Amino acid sequence: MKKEQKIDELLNSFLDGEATEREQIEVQRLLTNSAQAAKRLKELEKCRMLVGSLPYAEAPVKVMKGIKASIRKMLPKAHKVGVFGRHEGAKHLMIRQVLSAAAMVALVTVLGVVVFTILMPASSSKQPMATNDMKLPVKKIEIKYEKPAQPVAAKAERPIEGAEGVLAGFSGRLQLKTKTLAAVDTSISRAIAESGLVQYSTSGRDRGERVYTVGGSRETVNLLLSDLDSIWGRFDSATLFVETGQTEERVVVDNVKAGQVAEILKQDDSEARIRIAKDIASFNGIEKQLPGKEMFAAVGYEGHDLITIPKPVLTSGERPTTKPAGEIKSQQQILLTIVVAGSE
Amino acid sequence: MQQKTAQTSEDIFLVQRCRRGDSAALERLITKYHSRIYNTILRICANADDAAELTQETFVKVIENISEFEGRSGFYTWAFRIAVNLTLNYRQRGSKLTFRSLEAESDEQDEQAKGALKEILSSDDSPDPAAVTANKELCQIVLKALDKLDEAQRAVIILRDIEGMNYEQISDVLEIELGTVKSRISRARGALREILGEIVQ
Repeated sequence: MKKEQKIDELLNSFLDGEATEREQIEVQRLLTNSAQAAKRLKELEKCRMLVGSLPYAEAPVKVMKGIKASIRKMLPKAHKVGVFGRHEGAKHLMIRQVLSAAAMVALVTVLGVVVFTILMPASSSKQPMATNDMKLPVKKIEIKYEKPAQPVAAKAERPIEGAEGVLAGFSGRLQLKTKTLAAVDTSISRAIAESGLVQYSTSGRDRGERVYTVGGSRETVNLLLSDLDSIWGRFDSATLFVETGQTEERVVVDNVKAGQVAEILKQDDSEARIRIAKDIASFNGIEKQLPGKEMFAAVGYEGHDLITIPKPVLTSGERPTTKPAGEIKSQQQILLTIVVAGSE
Repeated sequence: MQQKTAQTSEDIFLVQRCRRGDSAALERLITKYHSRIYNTILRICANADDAAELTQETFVKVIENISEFEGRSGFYTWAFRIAVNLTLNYRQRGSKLTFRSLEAESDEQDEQAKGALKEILSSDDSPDPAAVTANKELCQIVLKALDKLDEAQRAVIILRDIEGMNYEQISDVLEIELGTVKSRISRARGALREILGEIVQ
């Protein structure tokens, strides 16, 4: 390196404040001893000052606009190629997608609830909704309704004597089947006679069945049911048809027990009777489908005798008196048709 | 216009946010440096339109490569490296438009400006830079002198005397050794002294 070049570098470093302590001492010594070096330093300083005094050019507004426009064009591509970093870009994109999907699901759910609320019938909304939480293979229980066919006996046979004037609080038909028709007939006839019920008619003997149309108070019917309960095991099937009265339909209670009939009759009004009849029909339907009694085990049920019929005890030697039909008050009157058919 | 800028904690923070896709951080970085980069490019390429376009291109490259920016150097020097490389490459492709027009100016007008400049510099021992800055014709003389330097020398002088970078930062921006920075600055100022001639003597 030439001496002049070395001195120039030293002087420039000194000017720019980049000289080391040793170099600064060297420059000071040089400037003291060499007028030419001092002059050179002054000239270099002027050059430095001239360049530094050039005006600072602020970027025109169009530069900033141009940069932003370029970025806008570039950003969609940037997300694909990962301008901001592949991981960060992908993460942000995934979060946005998940949030969008969640928002869509929430929106659809809300809309579904709104539509369901609008379209769902008012009656069904009051009923508890069944769930699939119970894994038991229980079929849907249907409460059977029947169009009010004319009572077999009443229509086919002669009119019920005296029954026309009875305003029954309950009207229904108990359909029984038994293999021992004759023995059952004897038992029922005796039970009717002992209960004090008014028997309007008996018929059907020619068709291999017995039809008893009886009327009386709830107490007297209970007496009859108590007697029938003792022979209930002889019935192969027992079905109670409860007339609803208002809708001209009947609630059909299959596999009915004597106690259940008594429970239905115990209700004070027709509406309550129909409701309890429906409940019993549902219960019996479940029981029929669960011969293993899993349901009872599940609910802690210990037996079938939901209702215990108190066997009335006569405290006097008097026989119950048979009252004429017209004397029975309508609100206490029960009109029950018992049809016993022989089963094969 | 000497501004020393080190790698600030703000730059580190903004770059991190920018890498996560924060457009506000990106905008802050652009706002912070776009004029300084434009000014440096303008002094190197000597054309306002070219400088605007190159500044824009610089920031596009910054955004494209910010995920690969490792932070070993400061964002400031990294962005300037991109800007200077783009500008030098552009100049090497042969567009010297501005100074062709300057050279077309009348010699008479040029001589008058040189006389005024000499007067300012020789009036006392500490000449007023503001007087030069305020006079457009005097600025043109300096710019013309700068344009006569070769690209490497011009870049190093502009980074030092206009942008105010220290030697280490210049070394970082131009990716050259510190000794090379020293010798290049020395040669550049020597050449400038020769170009300006009696104005500075």
